[in-house]
Amino acid sequence: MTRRILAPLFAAICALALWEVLVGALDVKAFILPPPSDIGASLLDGWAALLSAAWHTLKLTWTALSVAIVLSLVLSLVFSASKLVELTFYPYAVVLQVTPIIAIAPLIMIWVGLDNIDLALIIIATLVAFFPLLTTLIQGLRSIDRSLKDLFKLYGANRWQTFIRLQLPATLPAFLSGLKISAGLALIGAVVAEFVAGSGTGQGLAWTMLEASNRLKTDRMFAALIVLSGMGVAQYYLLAWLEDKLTGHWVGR
Amino acid sequence: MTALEPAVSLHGVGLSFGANAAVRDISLDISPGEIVTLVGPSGCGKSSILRLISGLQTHSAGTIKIAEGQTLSFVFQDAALLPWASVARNVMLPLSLDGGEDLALVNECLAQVGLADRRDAHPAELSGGMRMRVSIARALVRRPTLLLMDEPFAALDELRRFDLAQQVRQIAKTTGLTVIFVTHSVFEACFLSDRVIVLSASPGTIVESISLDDDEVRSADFRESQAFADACNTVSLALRAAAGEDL
Repeated sequence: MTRRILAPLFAAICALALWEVLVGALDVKAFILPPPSDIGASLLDGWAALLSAAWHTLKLTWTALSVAIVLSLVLSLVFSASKLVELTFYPYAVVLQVTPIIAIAPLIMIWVGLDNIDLALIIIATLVAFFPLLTTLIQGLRSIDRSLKDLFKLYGANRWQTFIRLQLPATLPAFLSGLKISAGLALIGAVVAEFVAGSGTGQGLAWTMLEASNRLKTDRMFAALIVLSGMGVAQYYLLAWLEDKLTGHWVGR
Repeated sequence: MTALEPAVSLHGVGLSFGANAAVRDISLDISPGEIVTLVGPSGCGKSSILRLISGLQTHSAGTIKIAEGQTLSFVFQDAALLPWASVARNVMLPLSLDGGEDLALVNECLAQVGLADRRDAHPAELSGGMRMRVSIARALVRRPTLLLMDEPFAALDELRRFDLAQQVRQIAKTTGLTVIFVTHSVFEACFLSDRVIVLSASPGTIVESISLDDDEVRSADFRESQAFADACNTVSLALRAAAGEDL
């Protein structure tokens, strides 16, 4: 455990030290590549603003993720209840998934309108996040043990009992692993949406980076990037921890 | 012949999927309290017969009659436990689906299969044999009169299989339970049953019915007896003939 933390930490410290030394020795301009010490200072100086921007992006991410969860749950249940509905609509879900979000984001901005910019951002992030959840949920529902389904049938369980006591818990592992992927994608979707909206948002981390880029404040861009990556990593490990807490004992962990 | 009405009666039962017949013309009466084992080549429709009796599958020909007032339980090839629920909650499942809970009965059934002290464990913490015993306890909690078992010990080692077969026979004989058991193992069939039904290769039909002494006690000694060896030999020969092997 200690090795798992110390080894990458040591590698990071070495890389940062090398970066600091090389940037100084080669006299690289700070607007091209600032030394880690400048980035650290920028992180400390702009901490409050960065935190507020991060909170805005996080709220957007989690709202989109929540909508994606509800949407994928409803759709996966409808799809599993009717093969015809699945055959009819699943290809359109695939089309949404494979179309680069950056290409449809401006359309969504136009349709929703700049007056409702937050709504547009949520829609974009939701579109990115929802597909992995949908596929893992469909897969989870399909792979429920046939004997268990027979058992519920044999013991006279009604549809509601089967849903609450078998389908819902049985899909939990698939749901949680889909959630880890979708949460990361929701964050990416939120950042992409903020980039597309540009100055229309004026709040999130992507906007912070855009604004810093316009002013050639590269250290601030890096600082925002660090916060963004930190958020993604923290979110992933939080969900992995939740997965372990909720389903760890299923596999004897 | 017993004067009692059969617990299960199949007459000319067939099951087809389109043009393909899985089983055909199965006629069989099973008395209350009898332990009957179905053996036959792979894919001959043994499991399908259990599914037909349980109502999980609908037959395409003939009639199936289950005597009135029978309570049916099913033990599958895999233990089919809810991985998120404790052993006790798993055993409780048939009762709770019916809107009731009876912890004393759950404990009693767990004690019957020797797992009273593992009631709070989760399935992942148990061995394959223990999981199967939980599955049997879950079947017993309904206080069934008819127990259908579809190759329940297939994944277990030989010793564990005999242990569990002995337990099942003991429980059935002390409670008057009718058992219909499907297995690939001739030894298991002869050790466990009062009667062994041999099915032909697909589409399965009954080719032989071999009755064994219905003495209640079948201990480890029985496995070394001449009677057991003779029974195994008879069933084995019938099975090989059913599979179409040249003898």
